[in-house]
Amino acid sequence: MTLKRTVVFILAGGVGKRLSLLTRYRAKPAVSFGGKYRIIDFTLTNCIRSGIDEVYILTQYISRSLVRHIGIGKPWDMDRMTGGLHVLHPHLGYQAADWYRGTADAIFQNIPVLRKLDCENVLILSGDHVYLMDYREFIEFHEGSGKPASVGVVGVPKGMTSEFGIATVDRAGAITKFEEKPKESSGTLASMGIYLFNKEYLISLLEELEAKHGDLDFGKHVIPRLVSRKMISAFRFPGYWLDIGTLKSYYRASLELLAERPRLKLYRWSSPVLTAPDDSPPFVVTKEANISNSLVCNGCFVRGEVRSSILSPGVKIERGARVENSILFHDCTIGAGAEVYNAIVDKGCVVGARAKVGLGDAGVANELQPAYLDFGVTLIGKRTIIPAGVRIGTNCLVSGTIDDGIIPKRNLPDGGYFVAGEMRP
Amino acid sequence: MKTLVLILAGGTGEELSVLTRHRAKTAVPFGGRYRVIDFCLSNCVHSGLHEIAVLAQYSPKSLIDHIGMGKPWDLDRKTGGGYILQPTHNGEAATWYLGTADALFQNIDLIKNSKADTILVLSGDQIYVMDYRPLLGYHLEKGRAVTLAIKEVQASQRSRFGMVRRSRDGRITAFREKPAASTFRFASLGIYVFRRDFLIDALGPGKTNIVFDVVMPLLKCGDVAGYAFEGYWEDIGSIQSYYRSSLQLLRNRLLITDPDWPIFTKGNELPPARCADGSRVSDSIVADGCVVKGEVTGSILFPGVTVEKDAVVRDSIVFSYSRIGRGARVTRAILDKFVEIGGAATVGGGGRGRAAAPGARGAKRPQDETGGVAVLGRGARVSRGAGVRGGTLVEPHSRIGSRR
Repeated sequence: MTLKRTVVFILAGGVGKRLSLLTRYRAKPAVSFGGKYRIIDFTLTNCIRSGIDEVYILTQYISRSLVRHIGIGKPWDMDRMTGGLHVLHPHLGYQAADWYRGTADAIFQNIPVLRKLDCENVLILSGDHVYLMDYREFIEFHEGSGKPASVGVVGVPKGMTSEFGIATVDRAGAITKFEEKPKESSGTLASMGIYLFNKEYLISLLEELEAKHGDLDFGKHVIPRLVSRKMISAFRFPGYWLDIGTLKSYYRASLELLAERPRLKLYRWSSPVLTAPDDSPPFVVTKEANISNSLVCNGCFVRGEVRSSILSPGVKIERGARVENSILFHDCTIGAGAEVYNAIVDKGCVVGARAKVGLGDAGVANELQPAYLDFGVTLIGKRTIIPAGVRIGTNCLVSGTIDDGIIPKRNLPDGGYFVAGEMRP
Repeated sequence: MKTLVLILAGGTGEELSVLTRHRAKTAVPFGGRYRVIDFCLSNCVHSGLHEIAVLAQYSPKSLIDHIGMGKPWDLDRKTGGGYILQPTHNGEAATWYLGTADALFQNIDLIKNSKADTILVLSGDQIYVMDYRPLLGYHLEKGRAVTLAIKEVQASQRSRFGMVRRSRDGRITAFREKPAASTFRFASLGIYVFRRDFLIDALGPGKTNIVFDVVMPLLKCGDVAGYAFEGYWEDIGSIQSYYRSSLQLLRNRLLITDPDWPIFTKGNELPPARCADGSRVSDSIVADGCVVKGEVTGSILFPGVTVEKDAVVRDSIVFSYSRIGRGARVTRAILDKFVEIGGAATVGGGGRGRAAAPGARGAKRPQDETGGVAVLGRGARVSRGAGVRGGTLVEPHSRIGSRR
């Protein structure tokens, strides 16, 4: 069966507030994942592997690092004469223009782009998801469904329905009921937030709905309307899928990569996840080093002990240092004799010699962000310098340096924070 | 001054035995993720030289595949840039490149058409980090037709090199190719700077070798300068020197880790290396995509190598995608790409386990050639429980100890 031509729009403009300091300087799709990847790499890799060669990325929130990472799409073979990859930022135009006010509003504002596309189908994806999926199966299902719209769904445990949009389907796969984040539900099929539309139908639907809702959102407005009209089917994706929603889910999903058989299949040589290349040398370990149950990237230099952790490119672990259950972003340095437990350490941080980070009572939630940081992990913001010898507890939030006056040379108890006023998330 | 770089990359690399059966010597993997030629290409771009022709001839596919349009070195340019030149039919009698000088002569149009006034000729099979700008500056200052880069070597090493005598004013006055013993302290590094008009005149039919046919005739008139280089420089001339200089990287790691002089290479797309629970990795260089469940010490693993549980890899170099089975022992060995070592097999070292019979298909054992290092060619397979003694050379794709 020859599939009709499909063009992709990736929603990559969300603020990602629940990721706390990780999204203080970057859009959520640009957050590092699995050591060498950024979250959006998974979606872009899926596109090219599914034979899709025209992709529009809708950005809005701090897009610099995202745009820089994507470039002209070379790592994904998207640097093309025709089609290829394009970033669509909200812009001023001849007619009224505005920020993107909702997920569907972002597509609505780009209807002029949509109209010009030579394609039958429009696939709308999110830049915040971690999964490996061949969209051709989805497209094939959609074309066979006889409906103008389809949504990808995954099975979730009964207790977790309150975090998702839950669909109930009939035998043919048509959605009969859709509940947004229900406390309790008989259904267990969660919307993945990926949608496939007939292009012409999408345009007229958005134009119709935009008149009523300025902050047009797929989950809130578009999908319920399609369900009430019986115009949408659900495609059940059987694989692993994760929406990086909170700091907790980010931490859990990252460390799950260390499992004996992780659900995310990164180690298939024939279909690697594609990302921007880096020029670092292979990683170097010295005689005194000891590494176990960890992922280590190129450019790392390890003299200390590393257990159950992820080291992004360019991380240095000095002699006698110890890192456990932690995620270290690019170019961090852990000083001699320092200890880091249960921490997420953003790019370019330095933990001074003999400092101790992350041990303490996980029951004490963070003072500043109790909702996000209450699961026994300390978060250290980008380019923070932790002075030698200090102790930082667990559930702490730290961002800054001694020089900028944010971090005093003293210990920080569990649940505490050293964060500049204007930086407070 | 404008400089055109010509990199000689046509050698067969016979001395590297099974490692160069399917690839040019300059495309031999080195240092965990690089190819040998990456070093001089990176030196060029760091030195601001962006017009580079690579003269290839033997098994060029490996080299073409690696260099491509030169993107990793930013050599994919509108003007200048990098390109690979192989012997071509030019309408007259065509031959292969008969020697270093002949390779230049066959491409003399390139030199004539270039706007460069200086021609830098390099060898693609050397491991070193060098800023060519001081060398080019020295050449300009001395104003000779040719400037050679030279390096002081110890008396015991002199028989491996072309040795030169340098006068006090920096001129080269004598040259001896691989002398049994020599009082000359400096070795020529195979790095030449030529004045363009001189080189065009000096090349011609019958001139095959740069040293003998182009440089030597100039010695008498004193038109050769010598620029002394003091950094690390190694010519990959044998399995032994390849093995030694590779493992030297574990001490001399700045060669590949200097942030001010990164070595550029073609990227790979593999996931981070994974050191499993219970693995032991120390004193080693490990590339992306490796999965280590056993023990690795004093070794270099290229991308995508798997070391299974209870396997031990010691003092060895393992190229991409090779797999060392459960409980296997690999000691003092070089495994080319896609080599499979079966469970509990023994490779290299003191010769424990059943050795491949001297007459076994694909295996020979010239102890002297490799200095006791076992070398397994691309795709070779060692069966479960079988053994390959130290010093054995195993041809690509052969099977050792397969069941009858």
